[in-house]
Amino acid sequence: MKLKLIILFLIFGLSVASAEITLKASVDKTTVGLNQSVNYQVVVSGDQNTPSPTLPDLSEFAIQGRGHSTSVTIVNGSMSSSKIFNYVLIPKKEGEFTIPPSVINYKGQIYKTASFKIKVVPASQAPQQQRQQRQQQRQDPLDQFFNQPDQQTSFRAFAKVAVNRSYVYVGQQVPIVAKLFFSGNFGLRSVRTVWPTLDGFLSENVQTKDHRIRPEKPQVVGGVKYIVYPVEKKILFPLSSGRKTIADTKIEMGIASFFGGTRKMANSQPVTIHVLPLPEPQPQQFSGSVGQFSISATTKSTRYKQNEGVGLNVVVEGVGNIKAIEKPILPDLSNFKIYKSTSTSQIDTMSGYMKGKKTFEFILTPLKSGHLVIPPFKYIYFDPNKKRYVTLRSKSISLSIQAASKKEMQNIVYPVQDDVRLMNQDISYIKSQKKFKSYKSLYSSGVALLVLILESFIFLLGLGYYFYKRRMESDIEYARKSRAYVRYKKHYNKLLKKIEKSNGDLNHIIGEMEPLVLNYTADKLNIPGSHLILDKIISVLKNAGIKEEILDDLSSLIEDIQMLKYSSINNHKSETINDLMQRVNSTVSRIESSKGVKV
Amino acid sequence: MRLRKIFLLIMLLPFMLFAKEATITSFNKANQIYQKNNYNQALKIYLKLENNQYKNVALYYNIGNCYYKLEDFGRAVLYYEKALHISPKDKDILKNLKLAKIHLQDKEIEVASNPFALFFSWILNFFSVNAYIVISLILFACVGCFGLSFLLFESLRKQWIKQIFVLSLILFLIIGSLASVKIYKTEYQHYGIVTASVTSIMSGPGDNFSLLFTLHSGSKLRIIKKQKDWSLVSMKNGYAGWVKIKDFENI
Repeated sequence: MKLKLIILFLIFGLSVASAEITLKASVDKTTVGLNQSVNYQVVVSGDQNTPSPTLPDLSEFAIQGRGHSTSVTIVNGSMSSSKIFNYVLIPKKEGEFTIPPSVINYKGQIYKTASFKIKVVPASQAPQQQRQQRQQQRQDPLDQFFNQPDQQTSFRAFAKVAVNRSYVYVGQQVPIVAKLFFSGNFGLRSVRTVWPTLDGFLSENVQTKDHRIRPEKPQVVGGVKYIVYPVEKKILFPLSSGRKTIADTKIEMGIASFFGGTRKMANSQPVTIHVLPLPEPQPQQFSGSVGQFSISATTKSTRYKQNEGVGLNVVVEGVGNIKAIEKPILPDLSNFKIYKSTSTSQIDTMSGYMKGKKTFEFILTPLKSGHLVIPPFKYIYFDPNKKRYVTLRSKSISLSIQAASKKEMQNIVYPVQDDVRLMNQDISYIKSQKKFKSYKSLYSSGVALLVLILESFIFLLGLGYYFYKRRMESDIEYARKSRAYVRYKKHYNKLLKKIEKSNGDLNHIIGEMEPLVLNYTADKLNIPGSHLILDKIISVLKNAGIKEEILDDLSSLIEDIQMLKYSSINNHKSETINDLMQRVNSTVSRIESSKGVKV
Repeated sequence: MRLRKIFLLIMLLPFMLFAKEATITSFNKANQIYQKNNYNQALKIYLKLENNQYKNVALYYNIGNCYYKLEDFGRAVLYYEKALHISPKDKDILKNLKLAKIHLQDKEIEVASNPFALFFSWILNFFSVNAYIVISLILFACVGCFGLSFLLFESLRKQWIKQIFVLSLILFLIIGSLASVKIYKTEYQHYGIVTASVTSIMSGPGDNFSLLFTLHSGSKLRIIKKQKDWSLVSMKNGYAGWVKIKDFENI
């Protein structure tokens, strides 16, 4: 019985392999105590698809654990693979036993492994070995039980396709889950299921709420604690009867490591599902649905006018292939005219099962008034739990129809749907535009930088002005010196205007010319007002390093002005005045541009 | 150089205006064709517009829709991402991108991120780059105006001006740094979407290197550098390798 199971367990879809294969078997010890175990390992290696070996008769031992792993190595695009089968054998009795060779028949050639002689000693005779075993715990068979630890990233993983029932009827739903058992130091970053071709089934993907995979409770298999990820769920509907095999499903894992990450495959064992045919004879109007269903028929009201459309909803609801639900068998509706019939289905696969409802909407218009009856709708399905066909009948609906006038009859009112249901999911519609503007990045086009520079420039200017103003307020000498020329220019221009307007009377203008020059020099050199004497000014200017010629010009200018001021001539020629003004201006500008008086 | 450009621009202005008119008409025409479910034909016109260097949210979005309807989900993702680049908060784009991603073959376990990182990326995607730049510049102007008016004008030397100045300074520092990060992310980090149905990521720039992993269309890559026909890319989860340039397209 056990052997049969092992063989069953190991039958894989053999595929064509081009290169040779090698077959090796090993045991970890040849002498074993009654209470100990032997690890028997068979390794098949070859290129892409290596077959599985036929195991020998191991009836002398109890098989405590078995494991299978596949490792695929890709080097420069060429692939090699090996399958490792591990068995933990517990001796049943003392004595000497032989593990016969494992055999593979591959392309007509027979490959054999060596046979092993195992000596089973009483339990008490083996303490030494036990100690040894403890010392060698790193090589404990359980450690290598399911998968060889990978060299770069230490992890163990295998896949499993979980099917919750193995005997089903044609059309009955079979939820399957591809699970990844993973144990390792590094995190799992991505997983992807590579399903085999699911011939003979109608398969339906199960969408999770947010596409996230939440790990289930950790499981301990062969002494290793695995995190279990239900990677992908599907619901299968067998299309025909017979023995169906879901070939080995692979789960591709992205595993994080110090060096970025690697991609590895975890393989599962094939799963067999026995599909039973539906019992004969099938009822004539059998809908083909397999599962558990219920039917209901409702109208919004029971009173209608003859010109009103009667909205009739027939709902078939339950667990099973909702998509395949057919229109229920229509009763005699000769008193009505069927205006329109539509169907919508609502499917829920969140729980892993397919359940939901299909609503058939009929809009009927009564052909006559009075008391009318909508007879029951019928639906026949097969219930796999009860193992028989079930006929559903909806309740009949009595309607009282009020007669309508001829005029009203021309204008038939159809019922308005009351609640809005989302029937389909689709992308949002395209966008239209009135103006077609091309997007430009403010950054890469330099606009942002330009504005930033402009803003900064303005602010720096403002800040500079603030500091200038502050100095002018706090430093009187500085303020006086730096404003000297501006103040002079103001006065000078005023004086020029006065000359223009004076109409010949220039006496008071001459009086203002001397203070104009002296005030400027006093401001420029910060000389107190009481010291406004020419000699004093000249000496200060001299100390400041003003050229002799400028100083000579200045003194001669002042002398000329004074001469004019105190002369007895009253009517001065405007030419003389203008000439003097020009001399004033040139002297002051020369002083202003001299190095010694710079602020 | 710049002057010449400006001159050319002025010369071409009337033609450009004309071209703009033609653009909007052909865009509308493509929309009409799309409405008649002739996605192939509509796509051709949209792509022609895109080839004329038009960067436009609606254009990218509509191209994405065409590819979605034609079941080229990888390219649909590419164009939705392009549209999102300009308008990161657009609900339609986000919705369609989510739908397109469902059809992709590579399903990724999301990289776990802490609430702070989530909040940061949320706030970073709150505005587009241009919006961030404009806001920063306005805030900078506020800092300058309120600061200077407080300093320069006696009459404005008031507490509330000072408060606004401090507030806008803080906001400017925050938004300004966000804008810098956003600029870095959009202008200096380049992303691509795999458009080939399947592509191999190698350990070096050549077919003779070993295969690290494979990706299917629609997967997002970060482009690190280019070398001849190959590009070094990395993924969100840290995987990195070299991929053929023709197998993906830049966002």
